[in-house]
Amino acid sequence: MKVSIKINGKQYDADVEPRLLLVHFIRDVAGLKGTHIGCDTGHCGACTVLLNGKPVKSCQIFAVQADGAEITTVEGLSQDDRLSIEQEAFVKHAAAECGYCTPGMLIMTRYIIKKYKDITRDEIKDKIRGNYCMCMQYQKIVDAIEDAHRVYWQKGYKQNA
Amino acid sequence: MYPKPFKYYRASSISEAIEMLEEDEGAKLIGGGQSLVPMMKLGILAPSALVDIGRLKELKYIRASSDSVIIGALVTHSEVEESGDIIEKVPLLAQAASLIGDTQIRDMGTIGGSVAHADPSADYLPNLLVLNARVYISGRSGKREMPIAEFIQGPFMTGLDHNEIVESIKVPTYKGVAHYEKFSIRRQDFGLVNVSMLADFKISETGSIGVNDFRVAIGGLESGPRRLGDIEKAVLDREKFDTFQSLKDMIRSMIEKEELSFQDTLHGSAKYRRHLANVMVVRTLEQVYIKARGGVA
Repeated sequence: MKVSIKINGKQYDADVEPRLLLVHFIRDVAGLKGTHIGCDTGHCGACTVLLNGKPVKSCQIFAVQADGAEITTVEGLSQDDRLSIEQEAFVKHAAAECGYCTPGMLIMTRYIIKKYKDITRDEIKDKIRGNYCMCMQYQKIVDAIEDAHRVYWQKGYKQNA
Repeated sequence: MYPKPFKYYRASSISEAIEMLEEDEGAKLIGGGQSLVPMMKLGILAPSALVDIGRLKELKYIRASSDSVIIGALVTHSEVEESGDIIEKVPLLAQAASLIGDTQIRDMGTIGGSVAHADPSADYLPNLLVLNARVYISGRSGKREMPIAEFIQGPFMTGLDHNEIVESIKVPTYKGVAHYEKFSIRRQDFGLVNVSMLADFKISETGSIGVNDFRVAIGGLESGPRRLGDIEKAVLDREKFDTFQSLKDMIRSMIEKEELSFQDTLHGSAKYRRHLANVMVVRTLEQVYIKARGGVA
């Protein structure tokens, strides 16, 4: 089945089986390895990407469902080889230990900071309850999200999602 | 884990979806896919074809009127959670939606899908039972509707024929307050026991309670969710309670005697869940009482 999916602004066309998961389209057809498969059962969120602006678990979606959609993966967060606001915050707070959950966490950060002008720490934790970090970096991850949120709303956002 | 190969069709209308279902006995509808895809990946379900209705705009709407809110089948849990109309008119449903899964699941999962899937632990179901919701169905022979209590017929069993599709859910508005409590190990899990309760209390200065309406449903049972009709009747028959404690005592003693058979799994034994049910019904009542007094639960 022919599908055409735009990822990080670039169009990818391919003829795929209906059962090809979106995460494999991203990793193997588009060659973008930043989106990770952690559990393959829709719990851990390492496969999280933005689909038409909404965070989704790409291992729980068939690529054919995303035909014609616009996807943002972790590779699409930064522009011009500069770290994005989210990435800067994660570096500053050492929020990535092994880095496996990090792409999913960064995508959630992008979504959270743009959508909510006001958000509490508890609300941030609740919004990322679908993202697991086995290294238990949660405190630092939440610190980073809080910081990214503050920076975004103070400085205004010049980079596109 | 990959599902077996299947054919994939994208329906451009409800009637086209119905035709596609009729062409293949093994075909299943896919909307958000957040219940279907995990089951296909685990090999629990192996449909021969998927009919993708995920983009049908005709199933995506929230129509509020003075006495109800009609929600199109493809409205996502996030949209229910955040809808101003639903928050204003039937807030219980928005509260329930916010407790489903996690952000990512709520952005794809739909109310029509949840109702058609009828997982016995699904968060919406005890709430829709308490709200006396109605399910609107489209099929080859036209449209029909059923009360949710008749539509849900058992665990993963509904009154839907193979060539029918849930079109919308109608949720009547209510007087009083309502609350949904879910006991789960992690917030994003299915609940071991879910309790939904609605009450229209008139609380006097002395603390006595007049009951104009009282509804309670429990989810997570082996057979699926159900209303606790005998407890409701007892509370409504008595109509007035001198103190909140007397209402609570009556409900506590009734729930302890109720015949309830729960699922028995690794996450919680049937015995543990049965005990939880007693605790959860009282806990939900306490939250309802706080809300009735104007406090935040």
